[in-house]
Amino acid sequence: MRFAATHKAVSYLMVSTAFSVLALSGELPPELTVLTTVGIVGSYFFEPQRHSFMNHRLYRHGWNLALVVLLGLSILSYLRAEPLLGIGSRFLCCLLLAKLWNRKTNHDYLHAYIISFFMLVAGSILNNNLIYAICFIGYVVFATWALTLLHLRREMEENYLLKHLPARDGRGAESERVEVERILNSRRVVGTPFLLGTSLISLAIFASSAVIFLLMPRIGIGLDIPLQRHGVQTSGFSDRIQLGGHGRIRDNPQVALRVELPAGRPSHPLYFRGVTFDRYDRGQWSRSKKLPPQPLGRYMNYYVPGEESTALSWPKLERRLSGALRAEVYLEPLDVPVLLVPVRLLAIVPPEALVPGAAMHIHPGPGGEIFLAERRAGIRYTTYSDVSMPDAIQLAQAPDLPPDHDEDLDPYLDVPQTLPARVRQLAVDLTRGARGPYEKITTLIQYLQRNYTYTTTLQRDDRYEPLEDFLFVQKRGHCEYFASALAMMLRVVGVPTRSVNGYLGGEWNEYGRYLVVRQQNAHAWIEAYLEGNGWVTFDPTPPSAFPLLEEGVWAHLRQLIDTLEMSWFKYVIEYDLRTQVQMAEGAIRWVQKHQQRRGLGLRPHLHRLKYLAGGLLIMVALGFLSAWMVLRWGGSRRRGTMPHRPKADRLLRQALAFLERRGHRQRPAETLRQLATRIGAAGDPAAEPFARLVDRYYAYRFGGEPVDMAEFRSLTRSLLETPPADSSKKNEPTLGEEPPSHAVA
Amino acid sequence: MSTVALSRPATLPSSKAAHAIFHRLTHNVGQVIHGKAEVIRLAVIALVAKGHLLLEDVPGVGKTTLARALARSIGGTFRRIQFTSDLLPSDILGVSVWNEETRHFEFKPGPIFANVVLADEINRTTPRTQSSLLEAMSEGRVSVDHHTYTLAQPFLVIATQNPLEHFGTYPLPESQMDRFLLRLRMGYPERADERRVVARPTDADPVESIHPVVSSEEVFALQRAALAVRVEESLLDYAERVVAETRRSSLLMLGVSPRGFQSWYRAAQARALSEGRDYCVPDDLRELAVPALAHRVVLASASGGYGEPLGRGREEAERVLQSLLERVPMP
Repeated sequence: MRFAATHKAVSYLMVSTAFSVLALSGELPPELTVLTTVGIVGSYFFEPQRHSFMNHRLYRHGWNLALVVLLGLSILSYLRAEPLLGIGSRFLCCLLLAKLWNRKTNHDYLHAYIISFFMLVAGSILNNNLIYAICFIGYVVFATWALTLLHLRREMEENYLLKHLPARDGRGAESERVEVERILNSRRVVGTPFLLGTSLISLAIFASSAVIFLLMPRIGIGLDIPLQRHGVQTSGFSDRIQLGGHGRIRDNPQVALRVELPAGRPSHPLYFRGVTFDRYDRGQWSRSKKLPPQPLGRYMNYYVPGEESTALSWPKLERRLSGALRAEVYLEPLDVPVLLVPVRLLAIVPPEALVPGAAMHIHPGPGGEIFLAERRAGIRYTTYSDVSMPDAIQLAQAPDLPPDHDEDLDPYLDVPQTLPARVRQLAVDLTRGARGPYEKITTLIQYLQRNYTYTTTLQRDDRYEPLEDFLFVQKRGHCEYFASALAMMLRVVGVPTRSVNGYLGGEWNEYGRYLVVRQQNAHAWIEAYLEGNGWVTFDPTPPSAFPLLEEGVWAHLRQLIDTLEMSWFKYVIEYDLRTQVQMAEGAIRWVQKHQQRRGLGLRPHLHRLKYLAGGLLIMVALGFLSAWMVLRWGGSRRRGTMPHRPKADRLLRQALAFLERRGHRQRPAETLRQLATRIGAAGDPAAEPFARLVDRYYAYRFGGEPVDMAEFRSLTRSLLETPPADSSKKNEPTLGEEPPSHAVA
Repeated sequence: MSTVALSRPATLPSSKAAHAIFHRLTHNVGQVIHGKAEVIRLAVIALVAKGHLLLEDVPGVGKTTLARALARSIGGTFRRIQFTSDLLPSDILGVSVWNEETRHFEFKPGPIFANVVLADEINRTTPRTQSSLLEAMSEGRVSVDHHTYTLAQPFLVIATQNPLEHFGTYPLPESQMDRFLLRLRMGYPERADERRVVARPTDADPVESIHPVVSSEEVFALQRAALAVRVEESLLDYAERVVAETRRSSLLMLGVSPRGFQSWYRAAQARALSEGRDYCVPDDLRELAVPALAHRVVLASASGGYGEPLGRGREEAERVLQSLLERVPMP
């Protein structure tokens, strides 16, 4: 490739990698993402040299004016208290476009690099995915290329021309200009070896900075930036739900949360509770805001729903949590600052905040939800839940709601005027023979599951109320319809209910041994209040609704990639001081344990050590390789003056090693001549050939005299062949006095 | 004198020729001073590098003989100035006297107007007189009564001071020490050499027995050739690091000045020439580091002040320098 073309291509790679980090974070408005992508790609094909309109004054002024206007708009939006990060990254995109469409000199390239660097920095805050890591590695490599080439180009364009300023008649300069053009168009300046070599160097740098990352004390600032997400809604719920919206997210494979279960794979699908609603009206669920939040007691950093802090004690907590399912939840950013928790939540340890050890502020919702004070980029928390099946006999014994019930339950019994009469009638008809609320519930669930089919491709007839449409016209629907129908019909017959949105099930990842819950696992169900049992979960959706587990290569690949992402989140994003301390403690414990057991205990770990050693070796080898390439590259640049320098140095080192074996070690700051004199004073015959070698070496190294490598080699050889010195015999009298064995024979 | 240099086109002697001149000089002087080859060589190096020598040693080890032999070998004039506490600048530089006949002031040149000047026991005289000499040394000319007189070339001052006596002496201030290219010690002669000197069968002045072997032109040529000696970049780096070390070291109050650095550099070039090389090697710098630098640094421990024998501070300074040298890796 031509030099100029290579430089351009590499620069574009670097810039677009940085932009991808920003774009893939999802924090940019989609229009801007598209616009910038098109702009970057388009600008690649326009060169100011070839397209004259780019040199027009109006064109330049237009861009400048646009930038000024955009800057003004950005300041305005900042004054309107929009987050600075978002404004900044949007403005960066515009700046980049302006630079790329106006690139004339290498300065413009440099500016584009600087902008791309800021993009990368912004992206590091906005983008926590594995994709960031990939882009970052790419950026490191591309940046090394681009900056090296830019430097070369600058040297050529600026220094060269400066030194050869035009002669008075202008003729001298003309020829030089052609020269620069020729170099820029040369295909021999950079080739694959250059690109390969520099990328190896940058990878080595990357590896060493990874080590620094591991060892430097860290605090997780990156996690603590509140986000504002643009674009499509990703999760299946918000603070109000319109029936029918669910179908859209049914195929969304984006991960919502990952759950590590120390107890292993759960025996049945887990319900992850998100938000609850109490008011239904014409197909829309919402919160009535009348209700006070549920109590959320705190003991140490355990938060216990339904209890007061004063009532908590360690024995009580311990009793409560014994047998509970512990889950470590890694939550991806959601639209609603709610923490998803496995049903039935017994206690939660909230995510940690900026300072290790301090907890983020959480507060309870009226339906027992756990809300976060602020939405975070990605968080991790621990939950304890009772996932055992409720006892059916006990539920069946629950009495009907007494008339003097708690008035807090009233909103959950509220049936809107708009609910059609035939829906009410259906509920009453179906539950006529049922004794107690539990039987009413099971009867209705059976009815729904038998007579209605599950579908996500929904048809709606707007003439009917949505539930009426579902129950009497379409007879098909998805989980929200099933849940809403059950909830409303139960309210008609006097059972308090609420609608719950969250996630169900998920995919067990065999590689990482954790549960992956995706957006497509979003689900809706209900909770009914049973006297003496509290709120109990019921799910009317037919089991056929749940997709079969995917099998085959793709599923495995998907699991594998997800494991990588989980590790990225767990070990890089979440990597903080606490983890470092834990790692160090673990290492110390490991060493102590094996010191006690002596060598025997190591054996089972030998295979693991092998991998570790292998990895280390590869890293060291990479480092050496790049160092060697640097040296070679540096060496070849100086080839004109000292062609044999490395060879001569090697021979000299050989000679020094030889002398060291003879007991003459070069002292610090001792010159070679001084060493030769010292050896001579010690009576070693090696002094003389060594002195001659040193003279030759000096003449070559410092005198710039041409060196005959053959002569140099023979000098070294004659030194190496020097017989052992008398003095060395004196030092070792036993050896000297012993007659050689062959003499005896 | 510069006129000489102009009259002869500046053809540099080859390194072999330079070596031969060096050899002739040192050999000639060596006929008179036995067993002090290294000191003689350094003295010649000082001459070639256009510098001056400071000899620190007890009396009677041949300092005067060295200076005289050197002067005679280059066919130049020799003057000796015995420094005493009542010596005046005019005793060195010369005075203008009234000439009755011409009715003009006439300048009577002082002993400084010679090719080789021996300033004996320089620390015995007052700072004022010292500085008049030192000014002449660095400028190569003297100013008396609004007239400037150029000194003879080649011009070499060999100053001596006795390191043990301190009563009634004025130690040279640091700025003056800096003007000497090298500081040397003669040292006692080897036993055999000493016996030979003592048991000499004649009482004739040995210096009278030697003859000039090198012309002034040849000395100029050597001086020019020394400037052209190649010093490789890494050697300069090394020297620079050593100088930086002296400035940074906590053991030293004052490091090597840029002038000191330059002196070292020039001396190393001259030394390369003395071995018939037209390029410097690490040994040139290494061997000259102590003679060229040790007298330019001031110890932080503030010894060597008034009332303390010069010798002790000197040895300390040399030790510190030596340890600094060992810290800087050789190229």
